[in-house]
Amino acid sequence: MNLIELKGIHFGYDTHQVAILDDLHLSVNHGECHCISGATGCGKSSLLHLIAGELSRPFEGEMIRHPALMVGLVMQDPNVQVLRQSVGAEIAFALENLGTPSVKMLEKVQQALRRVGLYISIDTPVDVLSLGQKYRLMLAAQLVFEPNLLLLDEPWTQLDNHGVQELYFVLKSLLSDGVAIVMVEHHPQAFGTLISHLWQLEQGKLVAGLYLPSVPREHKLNVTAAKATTSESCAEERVRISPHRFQFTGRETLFRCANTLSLAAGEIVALVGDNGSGKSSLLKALAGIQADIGQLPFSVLGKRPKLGIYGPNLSLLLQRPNRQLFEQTVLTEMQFSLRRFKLPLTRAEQMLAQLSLMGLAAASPHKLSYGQQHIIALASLACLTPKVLLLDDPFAGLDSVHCEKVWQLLLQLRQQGCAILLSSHREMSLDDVDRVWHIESGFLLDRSESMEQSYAG
Amino acid sequence: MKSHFELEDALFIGFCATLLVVLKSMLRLKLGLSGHSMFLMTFFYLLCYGAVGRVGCITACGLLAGIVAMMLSVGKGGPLILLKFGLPAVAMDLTLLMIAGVFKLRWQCVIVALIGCLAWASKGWVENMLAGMTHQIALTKFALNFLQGGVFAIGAALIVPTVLRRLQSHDLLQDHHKQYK
Repeated sequence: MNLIELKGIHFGYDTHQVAILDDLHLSVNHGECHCISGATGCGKSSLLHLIAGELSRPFEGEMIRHPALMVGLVMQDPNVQVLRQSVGAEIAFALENLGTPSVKMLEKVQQALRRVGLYISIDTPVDVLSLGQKYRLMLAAQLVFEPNLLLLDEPWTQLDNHGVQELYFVLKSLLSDGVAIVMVEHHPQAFGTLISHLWQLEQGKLVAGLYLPSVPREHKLNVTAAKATTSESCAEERVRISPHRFQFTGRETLFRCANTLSLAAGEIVALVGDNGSGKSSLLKALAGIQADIGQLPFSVLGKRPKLGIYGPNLSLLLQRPNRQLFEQTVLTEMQFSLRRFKLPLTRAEQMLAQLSLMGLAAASPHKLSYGQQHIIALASLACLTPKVLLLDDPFAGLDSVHCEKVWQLLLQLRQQGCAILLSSHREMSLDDVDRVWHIESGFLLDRSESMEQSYAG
Repeated sequence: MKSHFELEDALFIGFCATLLVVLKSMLRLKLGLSGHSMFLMTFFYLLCYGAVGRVGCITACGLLAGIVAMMLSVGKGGPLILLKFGLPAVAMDLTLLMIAGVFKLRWQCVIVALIGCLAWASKGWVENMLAGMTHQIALTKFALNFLQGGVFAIGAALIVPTVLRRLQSHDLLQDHHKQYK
């Protein structure tokens, strides 16, 4: 008997919308690794939630579960499923519910932590972990109760390369133990030979193969031209980071910055570092919204960063887009800031049309997929044409089509003189951005020159 | 209205009843305005109706709030506090049996709120009569209470559809296809 079998599943969120799963069939057996790809917002995450049995909405079709089925699910945004305040308590939660004797818990919890490469104390508060670390934590919280079916939602997106490599070996050992895995992933190449079944979700059905839309790569920067433009416009400095130690009050130094870094108008700079290196905190500090960080020698638009002093001139896209979406429809969400700063409301519709997202105008932003929320949050900031745009992992959850749209949007803003600082836990090419700042080995530094030399070489 | 009753509904009714009593006891508003308690009561009862959408949910919420208030000694009236919370709730539920689906949600809320206020003011009228007040004064007091309570009740009723729409946009309501207009 299969672990789980889905026969002719029909599922939709609203009666007036097309069903996102339409006559879907899938059977998963012990030791199989299924990878599902598909366009952003096509229903991949919903399928995982359906398999996990945690969707309260009705669906049509048949789902046959093995009596011994034990499902573990790691969602795309791990914050959604964090329940407890400390790392140890979070991992032990499932054990408590399964009635595991408390004397056995500590060992199991520590084993699970080591298995996902999280070498931190079990008393560590969950709040201080980065998004990537939280993803690993949730993975540990699932592995601790030894599920026989593990569901993973876009692990590549949330984990840095080191984390993906560790996950690869964890998954390999799970598969050899007979555990089945179903993952939703835009980049299955990262898990190579582990994947036994490759699917793409298309029009509500699972079709064999990988979702690979033909996207012309048009966003390549013309660096020489860009530099010429920059020198012509005297490169107005928008952000200046003087040498400092970046640390939270009463904690160890997160990283040091030995040289002055600056971001000029019409520049796109990437901030690259591993999970937990301090990228999000730095961006928040530049926007003046990071607490417990003290006074840092930052200058943004000629002022020390402080909440509420920049108006529409500075925008920050948070790593969790749902934290900055609050209106009832996508259109009103995009018009909110325009209305507040007395800018033309028509910009919202123009932006949606430019991104081919007019179909979402009347939808609730809270019901969209993680990727869709990301692009809507970014679009609502881009509407304001800010002078400084800070983006925390703007490509998370986006397929190649939407990534290309975002790049086009960023290039457009750059041409308008916007200074853009975007964070990523993966290396970025100088074809895509003007410069790259790295946080590595506890130092924040600009490595563009050495990268340019290596490119030239 | 749906016919079945689920655990989520029970939890939401309990949440509304508890929050109503807790807010009432925490705020302890001494506004000197008769009828201001109708604001919170109407708001939570109608929110409960909008979110649960089942016959009897307002009564359940009202009786539960009354029992909690009685146990915690919130407000004036001792055991009669059960009537204070329960009577408007029963009246609102009975009204909904007759007008559910006839009007738009906003007007439905206003009518139900006014009926609830009428029941609340009637309770005061009966109490005054039992206390030996003359017909004329008791009736005047009743009219004044209804008028003052009605203003607060209508205020709460007008907020409810907006709150329901917001809850629906956050995917927090079960009746996902219903339009809260």
